[in-house]
Amino acid sequence: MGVISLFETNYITSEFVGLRNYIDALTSPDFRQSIVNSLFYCAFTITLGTFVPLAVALTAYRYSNAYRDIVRFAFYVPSLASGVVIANAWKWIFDYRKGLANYLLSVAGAEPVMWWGHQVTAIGIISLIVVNLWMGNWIILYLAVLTTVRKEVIDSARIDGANWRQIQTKILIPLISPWVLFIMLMEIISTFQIWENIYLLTSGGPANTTATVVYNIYDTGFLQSRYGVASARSVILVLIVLGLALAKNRLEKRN
Amino acid sequence: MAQRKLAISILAILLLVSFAFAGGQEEKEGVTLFVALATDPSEPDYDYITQPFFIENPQVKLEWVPISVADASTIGMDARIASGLPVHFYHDYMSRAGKFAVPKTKENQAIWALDLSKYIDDLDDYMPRVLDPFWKDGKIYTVPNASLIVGQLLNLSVMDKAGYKPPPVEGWTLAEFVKCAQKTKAAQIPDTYATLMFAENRSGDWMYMGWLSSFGAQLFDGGDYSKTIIDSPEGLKVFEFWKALQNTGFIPYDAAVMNDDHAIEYRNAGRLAVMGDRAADFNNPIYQQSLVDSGMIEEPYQTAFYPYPKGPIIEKVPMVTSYDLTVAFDVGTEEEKAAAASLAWYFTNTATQTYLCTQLNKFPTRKSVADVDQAWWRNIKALLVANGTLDVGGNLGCYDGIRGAMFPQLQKLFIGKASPAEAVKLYAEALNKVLSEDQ
Repeated sequence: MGVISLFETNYITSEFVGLRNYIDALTSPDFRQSIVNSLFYCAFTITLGTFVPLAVALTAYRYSNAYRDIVRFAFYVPSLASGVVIANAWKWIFDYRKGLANYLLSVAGAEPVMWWGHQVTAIGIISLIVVNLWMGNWIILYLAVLTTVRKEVIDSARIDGANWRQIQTKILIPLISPWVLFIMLMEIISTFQIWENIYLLTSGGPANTTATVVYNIYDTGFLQSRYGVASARSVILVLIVLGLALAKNRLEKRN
Repeated sequence: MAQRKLAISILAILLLVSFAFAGGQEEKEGVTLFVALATDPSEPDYDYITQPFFIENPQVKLEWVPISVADASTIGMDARIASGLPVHFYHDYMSRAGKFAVPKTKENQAIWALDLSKYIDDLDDYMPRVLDPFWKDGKIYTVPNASLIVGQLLNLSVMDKAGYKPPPVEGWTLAEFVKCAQKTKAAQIPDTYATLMFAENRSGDWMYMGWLSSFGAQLFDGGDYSKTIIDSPEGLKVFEFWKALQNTGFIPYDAAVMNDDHAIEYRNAGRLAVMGDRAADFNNPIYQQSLVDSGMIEEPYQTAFYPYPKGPIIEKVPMVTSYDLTVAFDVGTEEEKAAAASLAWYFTNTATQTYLCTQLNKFPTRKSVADVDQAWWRNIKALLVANGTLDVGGNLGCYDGIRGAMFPQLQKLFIGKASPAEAVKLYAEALNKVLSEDQ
C-alpha cells in the first residue's frame, strides 16, 4: 500500500509521482469532507454507542442476575443478524415513498421526510444501525466490569446515606471510567471504518455527505480506479487509527 | 499415536490426489484462453460465437471468467490483473472495457492490449468513422461490437390510463412530453410517474444523456475531447428542466437517493409513462411474459420507441448509442495471442453482429451486416438516419469517469445543494478534470 501510494496507477498504467498522491489527499475536498463526515458520525456513535449502553448496564446492574441475562440477550441478538438484512430493513423503514417512518408521519399529518437525502438524518440512521450492532457487546462489557466493583463499597455508601443515583454518579461511573474511555476510542476507530452500511444505503451520497474515510478510499480506488490516490488516503487513515490505538493502549495501561 | 497415523495418512492421500489432479491438467494439449466477460457465459447465446470459433481453432479451449460488475466498476478485472491471474480476452460495456485498451508503454507495467490491426484484416468493413477514435499511432487496441440505441420507451398502456395519446414520432416534442406528464400526474395512478431520473450511483448515463439532445446541448465540440462545452445556455436549460421535473412531481421527489435498481423496477412494473431506455430492451415479448409470470405485472403493456422529445427550435435530437468493446491482451505465447485476436474477431464479425441485430435488437457497426427485415428495426434505423448520434465520448478510455462525473452534481441538484446554474458548472469542472487526467 505504501509503495502503491507513490504511484499514479489504475493497475493498467503506472507512473511514479512521489508524494503527489498525499498532497492530493490533503487538498482534496471530497477526502476532507469524508474526514468531517467521520467526525460527524463519531458525534452520533460516541453518544449513542458509549453512553446508552452505560445507562442500560447501570440500570440492569441494580437488578437480579436473571434480569441482567435478559438484558444481555435482548441487546446482543441484533449483532447475530446479517448486516445486509438489517441494512435493507432499515432502508425500507426510512424509504421516502413506501417507508414505515413516513407512513407514521403521514398518519400524524406531517410531511414526508427524505431521510436518506439529508446528511443529518442519513448519518443519524446509519450511526443508529452501527451502534445497534455493537451495543450488546458494550453492555456485556460494562456489566462485567461493574460486577468487579466490590459489594462492600456500595454497601458502605448506602450506610452513609447515598441514594442509587449518587452511587451511580459518585462511585460506579468514576470506577469504570477507564472502560468508558476505552469504548469511546473503540467507537471512534470503528466509526472511521464504517463501509458496508454506506455501500448498501447511500453510496456515500447525497453529494458525498455520508461517505466515511473508508468509503471515500473505496470510491477513489475501486470505483474511480485511482489506486495510488486511494493508497495514499489509506496510509493517512492507518496513521489516524494508529494514533487512536496508541491512545487506547495508554488508557489500558492506566487501567 | 493411532490418531496421528490416521491424520498423516489422510494428509498423504489428499496430497497424492492433488498431485495426480495437477499432473492431469498439465498433460492437456493445446491453448487455453481465459475469457473475461461481464455477462453470464453459460448463456447458450454464446454458441453463435464459439461454434464457428472452435471450427477454425480446434486446439483452443476457452475458460470463461465471469467478472462481477455489480457496482458498475472495473474492480473485478483490476483484482484479477493485480493478483496475477491469467486473462487473455475481455468483452464488456465501453465504460469498463475501454480502460484496458491501452498499448505497451513505459508507464504500463500491468497488462497491455494486442494491436488487432495485425490480426483482423477486414477493419475496413466498419462503418465510416466508427473506428476513428480507436486508432492510436496506426494501431488499434479494441474493436466495438454492435451497438445499443438509447431513446424513450413510451408505455402506451400507462398513457392510455392517463387519457393521453402520443403523436407520431415526428411530433414528439417537449410540449407533448409535458402534456403527457401532466395527464399522468392528474390521473393519480398509484405509484406511477411520468418519467424517472436517479442519482444515487454512477449508472444512468444511458438515460440522462438523451435529454441533452432535447435542448441542443453537447458534451464535446466536434470531436475535441480536451474540454467539455456542456456549460452553455443549452446545458443550463437541461439542468433547469431536470429540476423542474422534480419540482412538478413528474419524477419521484427522492430521485437523489434512487438508483438503477429502482429505475428498472419501475420500468418493468409498468409504472412510468416514459422511460429513457435502450431499444433492445423494449421489443421483447418473452421478457414481458417473464414479468407476468413473476407476478410483477398482470398483463404485458403496449410500448413504442421514440427519440427524446424535441425542444423549441430543435430540429434533430441526436440519439445516444452505446456498445460493448472487445480487448485481446498481449500475453502468453504467439499461439495464445493469435487465438485471442481470432476470438476478438469472432465476437465482432459480420455473422455475430447479424445475430445480435436480429435476435437482440442491436444495430451494426459493420457495413456488411444486412438490414433486419422487421418493422421496429427499420423504424429505429430511420430515427438514427434522421437524427444522427450524440457524441458522449463513449470511445474514450475515460468514459467511466465521464459518466461518473454526473451523478454527484445531479444529487446536489435534487437535494437543493446546487442550483441548475451551479450544477452545470460543477459538472463541467468535474468533466474537464477527468478529460485533463486522460490526456
